[in-house]
Amino acid sequence: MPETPETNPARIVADADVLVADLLVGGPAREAMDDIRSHSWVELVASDALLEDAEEVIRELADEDLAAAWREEIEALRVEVEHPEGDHPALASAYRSQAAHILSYDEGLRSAEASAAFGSRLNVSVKTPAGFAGLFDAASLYEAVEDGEYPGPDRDPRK
Amino acid sequence: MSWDDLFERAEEYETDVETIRERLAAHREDETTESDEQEADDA
Repeated sequence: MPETPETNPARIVADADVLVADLLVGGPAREAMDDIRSHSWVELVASDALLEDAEEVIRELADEDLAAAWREEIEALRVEVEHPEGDHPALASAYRSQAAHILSYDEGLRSAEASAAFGSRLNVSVKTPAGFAGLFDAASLYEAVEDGEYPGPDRDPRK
Repeated sequence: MSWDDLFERAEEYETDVETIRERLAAHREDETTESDEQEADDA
């Protein structure tokens, strides 16, 4: 049986629903994404397929120009990962990058869908944006993945 | 363009999480169907 890979607690996947909600709704999705954007050592991992899903929904609910502008900004933020075509973009992005967290509004990702796709090889915590934002402890996380004392946010999340 | 600029531009579009989830689910279902049809064509 394959071993469960170690995950990186500072590596996070936001599913397309959270990425779109960050842009078009705000609230907990933006709060969670601001936590990520505020720290250069926290990695937002996403495949092209995941970003294309989000871009398509933005195009449908807003317009082409806003979708293109969003894609330019998110490209500068994300760490790219590749996975086979047809895999669930969020689950596969997490699996391929050893991300520790998936942010999603889809409760199905928490259990059956993830187990069916990757079984025990996927060692990831699926959280709602509100759950993530409520639990995010940058200082503890920094001590776990970096050397030294947490210096505070090192990026403006809105630039 | 900054994230704040993007958020300001996005304010004119009113939507909610449920609508986003529905559109995403529909989009992913379409992709799955297209992929299945392509596999059938290739077989």
